Amino acid sequence: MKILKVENLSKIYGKGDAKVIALNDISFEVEEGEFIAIIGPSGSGKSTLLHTIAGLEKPTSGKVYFYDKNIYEMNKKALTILRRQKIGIIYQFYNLIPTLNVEENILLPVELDRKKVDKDKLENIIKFLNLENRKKHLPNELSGGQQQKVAIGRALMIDPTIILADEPTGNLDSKSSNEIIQLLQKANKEYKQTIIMITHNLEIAKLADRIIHIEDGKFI
Amino acid sequence: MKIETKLTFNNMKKNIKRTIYTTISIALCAFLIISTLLVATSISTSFKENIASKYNDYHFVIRNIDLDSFNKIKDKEYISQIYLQENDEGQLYEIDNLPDSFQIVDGINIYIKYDNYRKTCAYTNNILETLNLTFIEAYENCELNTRLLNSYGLIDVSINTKDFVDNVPICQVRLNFTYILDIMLIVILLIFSILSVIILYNAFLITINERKKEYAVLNSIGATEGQILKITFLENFIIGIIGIIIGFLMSILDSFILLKMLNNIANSTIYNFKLILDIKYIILSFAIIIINIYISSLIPSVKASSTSVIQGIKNNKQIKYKKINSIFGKFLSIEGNLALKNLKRNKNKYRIITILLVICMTSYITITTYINYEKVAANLINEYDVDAELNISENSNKYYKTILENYVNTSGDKIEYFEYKVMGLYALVEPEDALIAVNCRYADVMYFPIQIIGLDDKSYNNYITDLNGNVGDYIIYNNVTERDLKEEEQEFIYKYSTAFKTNYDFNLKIVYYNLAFNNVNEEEEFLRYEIIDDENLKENFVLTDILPNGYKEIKNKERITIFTNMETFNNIEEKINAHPKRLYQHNIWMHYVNTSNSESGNFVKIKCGNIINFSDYMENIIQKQNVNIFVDYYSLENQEKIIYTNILELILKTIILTIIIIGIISSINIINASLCEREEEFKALSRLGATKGNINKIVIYENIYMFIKATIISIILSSPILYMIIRFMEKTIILYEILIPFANIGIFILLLFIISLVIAIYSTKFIKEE
Repeated sequence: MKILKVENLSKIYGKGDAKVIALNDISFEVEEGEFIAIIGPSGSGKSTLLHTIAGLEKPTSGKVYFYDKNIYEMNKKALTILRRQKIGIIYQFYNLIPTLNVEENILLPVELDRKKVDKDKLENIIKFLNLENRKKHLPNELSGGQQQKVAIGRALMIDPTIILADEPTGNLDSKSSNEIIQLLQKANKEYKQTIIMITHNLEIAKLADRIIHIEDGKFI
Repeated sequence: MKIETKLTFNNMKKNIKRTIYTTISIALCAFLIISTLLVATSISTSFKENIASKYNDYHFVIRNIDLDSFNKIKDKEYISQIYLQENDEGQLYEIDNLPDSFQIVDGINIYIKYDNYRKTCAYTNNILETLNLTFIEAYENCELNTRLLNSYGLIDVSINTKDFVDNVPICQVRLNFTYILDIMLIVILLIFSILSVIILYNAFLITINERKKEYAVLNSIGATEGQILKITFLENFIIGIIGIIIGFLMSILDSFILLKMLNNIANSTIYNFKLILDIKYIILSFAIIIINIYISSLIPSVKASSTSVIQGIKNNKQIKYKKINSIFGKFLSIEGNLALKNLKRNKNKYRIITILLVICMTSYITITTYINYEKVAANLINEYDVDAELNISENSNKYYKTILENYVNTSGDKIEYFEYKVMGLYALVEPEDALIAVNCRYADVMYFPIQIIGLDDKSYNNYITDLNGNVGDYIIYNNVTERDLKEEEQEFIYKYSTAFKTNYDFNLKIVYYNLAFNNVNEEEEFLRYEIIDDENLKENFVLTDILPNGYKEIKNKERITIFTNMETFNNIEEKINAHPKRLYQHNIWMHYVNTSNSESGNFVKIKCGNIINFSDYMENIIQKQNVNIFVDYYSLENQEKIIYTNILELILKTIILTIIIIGIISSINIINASLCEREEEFKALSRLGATKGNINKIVIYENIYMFIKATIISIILSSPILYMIIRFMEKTIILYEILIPFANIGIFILLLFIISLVIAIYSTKFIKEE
């Protein structure tokens, strides 16, 4: 079942001589349960594509459909709520809330949604991430790999339709990187989680079901 | 606990220093506004209460009223209190608290207090109309409590005739200052509110900017704008409440201390200020500061909620490239150039510091100049060099000394006094061979006013010694003022030429001048004069521009004054009294025309230590003991003016100090935040080999540029204000020099510069340690 459809997506920054075409008429679809890696060199438009799919950056032209609904026809609030409920985002630099501990960071989207906390689910996710001994720790008391795990947990907690991971291993050592990738694979296999992952590392990309190459804003 | 609340408290705890700075800023702003209201209302209420107790708490009196008229007005809704008096010597009783023996009959006196003194004229006119009084009836039986009303700001309130023609009485006031103080208070509160909003806006903005990334992350994981707004408003609300409470407590303490200091300056019963905590003004001040906090937090909160996710997460600063062409760049080191570029490309950030510096400097320059002018005016306006003068009759001549001695014994104040006598005369003048040429015409008869003053022995001896004259000499004080009116108006024309000779051998002749002779020729002119006595009055004359001690006011009198010793004065007076038609003449041709000069009489000049206490004492004596003494309190107004100036100085300097403290706290906050943001920049510079000294230099250069800019703006802003102050004060006094305290201002600016440098350097150290 198609859960995501991107149609003729373009993003242009600046004007005249300073004009930069970050995305150039991109179209593709994602099936439920797919693990897609988008690979390309620096400045190829990977992050821009991810931000546009997540509703964080409005494209210059084109459409993005979640379950046949064009997200750019929604108002700002509806888009934010969609992100909260349907899209899990994992960043390269974790972007955890520094004043909340591991548990609180993982629960953040659920609490923003005013939903009742499923404590069993929380425990399962923490166990899945191997963070049982770090539940009450603040982000600055965790290693990079642990912080990224928390970010994954935050994304998984809401049962998202899709997880968008922007260079999730970019800031980690090889051991931590492997751990993270394994977690993502596990999430994909065990929870049938649809994942789109940005990376510049071909070895990591090969672990995905589908690899899409992007260069100068275009799919190759 | 909701997630927004949790995030709010966590944020406040995490960045405790920023929270403290912001709370202190709010506290100081609250302190400024609450103190202003508390002190202003305490002074106003205390002053009114003291004045009311001193001059009685009523506004209008109707004496000898009939019962019918009384019944017509007693229930008027604007009357808050009526006191009744059986007769002029009787006691006043509140209408609701009359003794059983009191009979409300025709002929009682009623003392009316209105519910709003500002509408005294309107209410009084209503009463006059109701009673249908004629002007004469109103004049004879009605009276306004002018002393009380003057103190309240209704200057020269009186009952006149309408258009000065018909018989209808009307209550009018010449000057109404009652609203001026209210307007001044509103303007001051408005200025402080604007200052508060600027400072708090900046404080909140710093906090928001520091958390931009966090808000962006929250947005990206699904926090709506409303939820982010909730977080920011909640934090501002909590800090605001704490700040207001601290500010309120500080205000009470400060108001108490300030009022105590004011009382020490004033040192009088009228100015006995006490702290009054009126709940409605406290609520008003809270409302003002809450509105200020809301306004100042609104834009930063909206900015937080609408932070671009991408820019926030990447922490991209929107620094727009701006080509910097500066002449100074060629002469500056690399640090200076970096500083200049940083300032130019990050204008918004540093604008607040510049604004704060401008506010501090402009306030100081304008306020200290105004105070300086007021202080000089307070001294200059006083045309007397004694504090008071008694006009004594023959009867009171015997006991005035006892009264003054009693004052010294009871008050502990020191007194110096000396008697003198004045004889006011008119004299004719022929200018041809006169040293003092006086040209004065009225109906073809040339004459002008002169006065002869008999000094006590001590004053005369000191005076004549100073002038190197001989005992017994007449001393002619020659006013060197010149006054020239238009000839078309048949007014007197006075011209006094400068005296250039002393010890001139004048002759003084007493002559009789007959005004009945009109239009006589020159020969017949002499027939007018009958010489009575010129033998005993042949004395030397001393011409001088110097006045004796205690007679400074003579300088402004438009008449020639002749000082003599008391023996000579008595001699002259005796001759006049013996023969009423006797006149004086000497060869400046002064001729006696008549003695209808109201300034004649016996006087006692008084110098004392505390004119306010002295005036209270004398008024008490005159009223209670019914003595026949008239007193002029020359320095009372001046003393009150000096007290007013000192009070004003204390209040204004307190305001300046508070503004400076707020400025310093805010500047520390801004500079700290700015240096935190630039930590990466400094790290990059360090990696390239910049030492701590280099980085300090950049920060110092930035401060120097901002300070120079702020100083120039302050001078430009202050100039029109100073001009207005000078023009305003010129209406009160004539000065031949500018009284701007340049030295004080220079020292202040230098101190401010040093403080700002210390803050900057200290902040650099602070960042390094982080």
